[in-house]
Amino acid sequence: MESALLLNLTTFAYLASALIYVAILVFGSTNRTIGLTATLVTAGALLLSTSGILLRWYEAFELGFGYYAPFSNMYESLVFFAWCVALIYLGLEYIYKNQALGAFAMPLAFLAQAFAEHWPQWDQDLTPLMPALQSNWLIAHVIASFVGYACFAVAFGMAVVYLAKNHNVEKSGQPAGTGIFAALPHLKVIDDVIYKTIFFGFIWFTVGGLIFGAIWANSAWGTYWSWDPKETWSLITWFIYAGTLHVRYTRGWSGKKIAWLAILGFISTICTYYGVNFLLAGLHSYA
Amino acid sequence: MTKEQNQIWRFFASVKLALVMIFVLAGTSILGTIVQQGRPPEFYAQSYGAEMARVLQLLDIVPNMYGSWWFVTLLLIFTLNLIICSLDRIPTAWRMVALDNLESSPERLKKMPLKAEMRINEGADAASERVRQLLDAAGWSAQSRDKEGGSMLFAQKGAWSRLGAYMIHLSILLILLGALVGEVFGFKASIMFPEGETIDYVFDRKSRQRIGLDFKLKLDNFEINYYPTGMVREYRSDVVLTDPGKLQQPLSTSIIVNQPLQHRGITFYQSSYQPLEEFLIQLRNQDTGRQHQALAAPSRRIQWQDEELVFGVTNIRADRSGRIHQYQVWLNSPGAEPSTFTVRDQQGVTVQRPAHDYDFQIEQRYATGLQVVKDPGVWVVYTGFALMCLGLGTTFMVSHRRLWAYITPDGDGKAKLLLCGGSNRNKISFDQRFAELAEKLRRDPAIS
Repeated sequence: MESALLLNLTTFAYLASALIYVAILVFGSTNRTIGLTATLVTAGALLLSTSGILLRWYEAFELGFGYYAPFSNMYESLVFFAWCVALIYLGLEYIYKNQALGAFAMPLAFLAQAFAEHWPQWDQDLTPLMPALQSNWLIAHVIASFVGYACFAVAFGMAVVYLAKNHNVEKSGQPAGTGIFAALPHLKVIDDVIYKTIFFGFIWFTVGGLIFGAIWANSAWGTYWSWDPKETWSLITWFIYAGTLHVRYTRGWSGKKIAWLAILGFISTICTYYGVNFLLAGLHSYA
Repeated sequence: MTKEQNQIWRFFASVKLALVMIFVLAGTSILGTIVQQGRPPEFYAQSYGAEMARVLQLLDIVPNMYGSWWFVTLLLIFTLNLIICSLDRIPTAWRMVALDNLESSPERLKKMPLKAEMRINEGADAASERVRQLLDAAGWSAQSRDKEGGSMLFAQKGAWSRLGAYMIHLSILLILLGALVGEVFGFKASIMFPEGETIDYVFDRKSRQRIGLDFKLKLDNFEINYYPTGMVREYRSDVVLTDPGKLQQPLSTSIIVNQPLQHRGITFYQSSYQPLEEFLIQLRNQDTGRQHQALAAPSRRIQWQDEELVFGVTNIRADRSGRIHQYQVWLNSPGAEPSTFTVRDQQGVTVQRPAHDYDFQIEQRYATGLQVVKDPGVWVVYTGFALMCLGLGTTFMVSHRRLWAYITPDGDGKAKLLLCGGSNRNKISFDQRFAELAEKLRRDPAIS
């Protein structure tokens, strides 16, 4: 399969991108060329991944699978997750014009892609869709959920940055931080990034994960909600982020507290995404 | 309101309670994902030991925690909290929507964070009209009022976005209401019936009670299709729906996973199947074309009297799921020894007998399992979904942007313009819009 090769190369491209961003951060580089290289490598990785995913789709079509979408198992979904993280990061880089954050986002994309490629637990074989998955809701539900997941992952990365920088600021007494922390955006900006990515992710997750999921469940199983572990965990995740947004609006929480909630939310996201599929029994055990 | 009533109201109106409830619901929900739900008592005794199983049962964690008295109570408190909390705050939000912003005092305007001052080369009245037209051209249609020797213009966008959060709250209530409507006025049932049979009833999934239908459903054929890899591609029930009251003629259709059949508010979902140890045999005389159909079971003797044929199935080869792949068949007629042969499911063979040759075809019979659901609340739930999308979109994408222009005479038949504004969200983007607008006004030859 050609697509396997492309997706394998994507792993290395993400690794290269992550390493360049880490280097930029660690060496405090302000070199324009290196910065541009980092962005271009990331965009290239994204392009590789996109071609890989589309090619895989085409290959499934060639194999006579009929209805298919390349988001139907753990391998494919992780590849797509990494794709979303990379895309969202590039969006953030464009909006905030700061490359230091890449050192905390792109490693996540690399890790997800490397997990997909090298974890022996799930196979990468192209298998046709079982009857329950043959629905247009598959595409809408999975794409939107994963954009949500990826936002939460990026918010998690930013929360780690925030806590690290905050620690440095408190210790050094310098409001802009010292050493590599000085290269990072101001704490207030990181706080704003965390909040905005959470809100953006919350919308995708609510609409795609919960609402599209419920509508699909109703058309496949005749019930839009059945307290299946995956459904319940998405609700738990939803509650955590809804709570986070409410404490921010109504109680004015920001900074450290929101960062910790972003971390808690991401742990719940991982339970929803990964834990439920492998540790608990339920309707979603296929993906 | 009496003091106690007021206290109860304040309790349920508090955001603190809402936050506590959100995190309590999240926390308790975890329990039911770790302890499997809806299993028989023996399962729990086996997995957790008799003692622990009793404790779980006593705490209503098994078999159905999400329907337990304490979880439902938590949901009720949450709902009540959501209602009262929203009712408590909507008036304030509404005041912001309906606020007469032309009442703002010029002093307040001067303190706004975003402002620009300009001079206009004409009298105040003409200047005011000029600014109004310029704002209008820029997409800000303003109202005006004369005020303290000057005139004030005001325009706003997205005022209703202040209600976005309450749209989301209302959507949650609608979803819960829809669930309740479905619970009270609907049912969840199932039915399993073999090919060739007709049903006009289903069985409630919980009580196993029979529920009558106002129409008939006949199963013509159940079929499993496979991919070349051997994986299942499709489960399909071909059915005929007969309902003289609603349909002029019977409706032939298929029920497939993800493509349920809907009729009279009742939906049929393909959910399971059962291979039966029964086979449909079709015989055809190759010379005369006469046909015969018979339902057979293992080691049953069947006759086709007109042709003096006797036949039966002696042996079958089935897989673990009960699907039969191959049959061992015997067939006898006068004048020769019985023929014995093997035949694969759904395939035909020719059997040669002294008098005639026959086409022999055999097919296993299946029963289909359908989930049958009546849920009149589903449209309430979907309305809730739509409102939730709208509310989220509003809250995220629309902000309440306000713009004032205050024009006062400045001697010499000239005028002074104070332009100011603000946005409740996305301030950075509004700052830019505001600067662009001020720039646009300054480009007018009369304004400097």
